[in-house]
Amino acid sequence: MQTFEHVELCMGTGFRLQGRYDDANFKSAIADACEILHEADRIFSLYKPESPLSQLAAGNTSVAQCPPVVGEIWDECEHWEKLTDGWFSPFTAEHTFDPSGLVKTWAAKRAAECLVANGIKDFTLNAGGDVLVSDQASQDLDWRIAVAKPVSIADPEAGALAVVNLRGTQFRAMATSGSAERGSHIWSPKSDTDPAKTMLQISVLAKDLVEADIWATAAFAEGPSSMARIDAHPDLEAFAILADGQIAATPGFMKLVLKN
Amino acid sequence: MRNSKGVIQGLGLLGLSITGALILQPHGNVASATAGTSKTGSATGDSINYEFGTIQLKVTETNGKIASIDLVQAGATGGREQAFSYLVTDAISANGTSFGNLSGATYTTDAFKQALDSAISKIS
Repeated sequence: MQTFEHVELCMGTGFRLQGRYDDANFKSAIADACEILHEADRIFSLYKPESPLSQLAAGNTSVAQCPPVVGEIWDECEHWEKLTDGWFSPFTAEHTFDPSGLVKTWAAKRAAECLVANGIKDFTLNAGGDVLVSDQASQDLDWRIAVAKPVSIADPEAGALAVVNLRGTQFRAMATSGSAERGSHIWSPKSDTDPAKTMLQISVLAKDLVEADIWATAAFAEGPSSMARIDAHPDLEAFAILADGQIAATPGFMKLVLKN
Repeated sequence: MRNSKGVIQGLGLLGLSITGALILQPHGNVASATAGTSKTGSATGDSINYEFGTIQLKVTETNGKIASIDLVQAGATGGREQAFSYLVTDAISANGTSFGNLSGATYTTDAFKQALDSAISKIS
């Protein structure tokens, strides 16, 4: 059994795969997984003018003319829009289709599935701060995920705010949305308030990486009242830092926080 | 606040002692052996450019152990540089580059490693 750590830069962020393997096809498995990420980036990047999504946004093409996966993503975005009561939306204020809020973890989830299919089953995947733990992750540390503090490096308290232990739970993913990493980049589809003014960040635990990511984005857009929505959801827990520095957490989240 | 009665909130102000439950934990495994010689001294590494900015570190080693890491440049924008401090702390505790999974801040991991390796390699 050998350990590995691989960081793939894609979609403007780092995807970190780390774990253990005993399969001779390790390198090709990692390469296949990373190709899934890059393929998604080639199709969905709005930073690449030649991508099908950029062409779609520019009005030069239609969904029907795009690769079939664009239609799949469109449908999945609509699915999540319904489930989040409209707080997740792939449509910008300018009515452009921007599924960036889904594509990163959608691709990461498929990359993780690719690793498992290729015999690498003991790993974690960190997609630019959204973390997935594989079912067969073997190390205690794999199951411990830290929530980053939403503060500047100038703050002597910068670092990890809390660590949860997911071992033995239903949860396999934590995603965090906030303004600390990318500035104010989440728009609210249902309100004129800039979400960054009511919440600094929110971390959501779910069984599935995409589910965690979507709910973190939706909850950040909705603001503090999203905590009640998540608390009522049987498969989600959350931990938020409000704009005034106060912390809000669901009781289920607090049960998982590591104590000394 | 309009949270449901079940939601815990107001545990404390960020940055202060929040509760006994919230603590720092070591996380991650050592990824690559960047230290391990018995050098003493300090050096400033190359300036590493990456997707969101520039990072440059000054590393001081005492008898082969990393004693301190100073940020010479952390040119990320939009608060992204918050990750550096976490990485610095982690690197010191592991005497090398050791990263766990941190939800919310990982953009800079790779560039940080390059910057750290560069500085360590220049300590004579």
